[in-house]
Amino acid sequence: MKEIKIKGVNEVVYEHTLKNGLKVYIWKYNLSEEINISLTVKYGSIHTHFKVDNSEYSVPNGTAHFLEHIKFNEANNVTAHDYFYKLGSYVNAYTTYDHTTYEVMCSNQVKDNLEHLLYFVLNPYFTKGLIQKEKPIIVEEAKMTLNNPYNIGYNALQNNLYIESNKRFLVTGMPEEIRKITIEDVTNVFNNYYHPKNMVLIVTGNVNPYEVEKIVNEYFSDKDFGKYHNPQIISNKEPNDVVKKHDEISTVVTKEKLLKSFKIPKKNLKVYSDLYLRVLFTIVMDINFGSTSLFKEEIITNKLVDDIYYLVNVEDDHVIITFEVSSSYPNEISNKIEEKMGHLECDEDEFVRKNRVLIASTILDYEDAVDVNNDIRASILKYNKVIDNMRDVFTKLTCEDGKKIIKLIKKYQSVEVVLKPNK
Amino acid sequence: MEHQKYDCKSYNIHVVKTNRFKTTKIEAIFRLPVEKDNLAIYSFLAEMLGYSTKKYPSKRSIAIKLENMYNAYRHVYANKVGNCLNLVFAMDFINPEFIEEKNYLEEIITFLCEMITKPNISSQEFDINDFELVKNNILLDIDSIEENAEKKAINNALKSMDSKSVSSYNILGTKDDANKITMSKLYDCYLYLINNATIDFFIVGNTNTDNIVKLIKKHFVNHRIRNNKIDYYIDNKLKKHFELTKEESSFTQSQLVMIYNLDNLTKDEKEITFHLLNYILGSGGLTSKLYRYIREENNYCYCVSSMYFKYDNLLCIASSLSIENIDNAIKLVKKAIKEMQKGEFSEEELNDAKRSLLLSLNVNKNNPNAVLANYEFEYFLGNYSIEKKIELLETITKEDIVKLAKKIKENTIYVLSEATNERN
Repeated sequence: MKEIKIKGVNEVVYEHTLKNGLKVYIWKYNLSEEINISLTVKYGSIHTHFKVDNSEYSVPNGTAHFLEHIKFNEANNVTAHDYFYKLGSYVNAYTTYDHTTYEVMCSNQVKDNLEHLLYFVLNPYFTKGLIQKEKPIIVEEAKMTLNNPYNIGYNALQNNLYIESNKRFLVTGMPEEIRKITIEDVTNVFNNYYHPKNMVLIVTGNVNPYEVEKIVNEYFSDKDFGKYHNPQIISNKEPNDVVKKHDEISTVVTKEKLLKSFKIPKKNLKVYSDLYLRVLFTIVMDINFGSTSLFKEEIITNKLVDDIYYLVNVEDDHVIITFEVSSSYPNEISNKIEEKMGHLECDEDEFVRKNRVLIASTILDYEDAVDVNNDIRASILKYNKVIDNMRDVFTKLTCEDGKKIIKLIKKYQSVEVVLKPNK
Repeated sequence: MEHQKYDCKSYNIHVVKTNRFKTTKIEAIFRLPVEKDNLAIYSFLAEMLGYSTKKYPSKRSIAIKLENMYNAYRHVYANKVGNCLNLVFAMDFINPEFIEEKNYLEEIITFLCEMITKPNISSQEFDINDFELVKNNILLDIDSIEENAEKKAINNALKSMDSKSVSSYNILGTKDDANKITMSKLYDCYLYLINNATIDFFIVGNTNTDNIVKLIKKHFVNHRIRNNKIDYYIDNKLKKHFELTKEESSFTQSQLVMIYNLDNLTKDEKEITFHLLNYILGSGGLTSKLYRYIREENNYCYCVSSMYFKYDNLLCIASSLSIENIDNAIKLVKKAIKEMQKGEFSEEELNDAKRSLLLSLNVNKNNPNAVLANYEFEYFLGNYSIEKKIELLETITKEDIVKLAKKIKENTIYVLSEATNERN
């Protein structure tokens, strides 16, 4: 096994690659009894159109999430839940735009928990009856999502922001899309994507890394998953333009809310890697819009807004910055945000303070089995490796980098959705 | 984990020493009995005291100070635990052993104590601008309940149960309550809190115990000795059978809430047995009775919550589903409860529940918030420690669960139905 030494925190992440291509990451932490095991498939809700060996396939929106639900079924009318419940473990799963994760939380019996997680995720048990049975449950889940005014707003925002990306659709799919999913769709996705080579296994907490390695090696020793056909996702490049700049929705909010996204092309920002971009945008946005910014203080003190939050996402072709604001003056505040985005600042003292906070935060990494599991997964999915030098990344960045990035983000598009109370 | 209590006459300091975490957590808890009229104003006061201090007179200056203390996190809030109103001043910060500055811990303690003892008050009045902004935030928070179908339904269900019960009071109060709060009333409330609340400091982390006690004594000087006797458990009235309330809403999915009284539970039943019962009934996920009947066998919903409101002596079952399935879902909940009362569950199910609860208790040992909360209730109410709960878990029998299930009594069914046009 390869040992990845995490700089500055005296921790080691073990990396092991099996013959079938499965990547395994292990972090040992004996101060806690917790063990977190996750198996992630690099397949999510946006991957609805793909090509395998010259054949093209399309599946309905919501198929990744649907597959996640029915994956828990096993033969003889039992489910994976039954098995883990008997072990006293907790099992769950979730689907995102680009991956599906199955996870188990336990405090003992690593072998049983680990082997059964691999077993139920990697072995298909699909029947038409199970597909039909699950549909109304998932429809209710989608309806639950749509019963929340913020989710309605974000869904509209994504619809207006993306022209090509499937991020404009709900992860669950809409009720009418869910009803269209067939056994052929889920089987197709399972056969093409649920291969060890397209998965990452992460085990964190109170475990012996070499014991985990042995369990995994033995589990796969007599199993052949055949060749991984490496399906190619078919998607058009996301344009820099947007669908619709302004939208208004009447819903169950009690006061107006503004949701506003900026779509910044990454083309001009490529002097920085995604990792550096993420850190730089976090600092620059915090300086300009965070709790310590004069901008936020002014708009709150002048009662233009009740509160303002923002989120930074570094994507394949764009950096997306999304604001959520509660305000009686959504148009005025939208103009103010727009104006501020055009005049971002980077003060030396502020930059140093924010960066010092980030450096200090690395002390707190590698403390909790679940957090570390999530961090390793995010790192692998975003950067295809465990980031072992986060402290160096923070240390290297200076205010000049902040100023440079501000200069580079002059061209962008914005979209907004205003949620208004029902009349 | 080793813990020590220091009697400082007008308050106590409790230190849970552990090297398990890289952060330290401190909570200063001020306790008073709940009254219908004091919830709104103490929620308001908590927000004001966290908003600014004399030395840091704006939210922004506090944010800068916190970043300068390596992103220390502060949270000031009021909460209601049964009949007890808590005003909590909490701080989380990196263990001083990792920080080079020698006065780091004192900076943290000074800041915490300043929020309590040196608020942004001049001439016996809080800052008028802060007052207006905080009032606006409180009004928004009250309104936000209306935007969340499940929260709204549970709140309304408790009011339908008994609008005079402390269980039905919202910690934020009503918009009317918030609008009636004046600057002078808020100042009086602050003085009352400082002079009349029972005060305890709780610390969990790897700190020099003597030093932290010395620093709190140095920066928090209070000579008023108060020991409010508070009976935490709310005695909610029993009903002969379910009373049903239905209301319409603009939401697109209906909400079902069913409330049951838990009549005269023993300490062991409150501390451990009910958690096991609830695992088998509904909180244990897809293998529990409620999930099996309502979701897996009939596909009426995505999730169903079975919540134990310990200090209210209530069981609350809630689900989001289509209006046409509500009546059948109610029958299924009743069926599940009846089965628990008749002992229609296996020893195997009980053992599975024990194993699952054991995992939860073990996970709690690894969470500083859970460690602190558990210790706080050990001290306030004589609740069992995590270790004692683990020990007791094995002794619970099927007969214990059945005996407890018979103490579950019907009270209220509340339905918040979806908008009519959505149904069409």
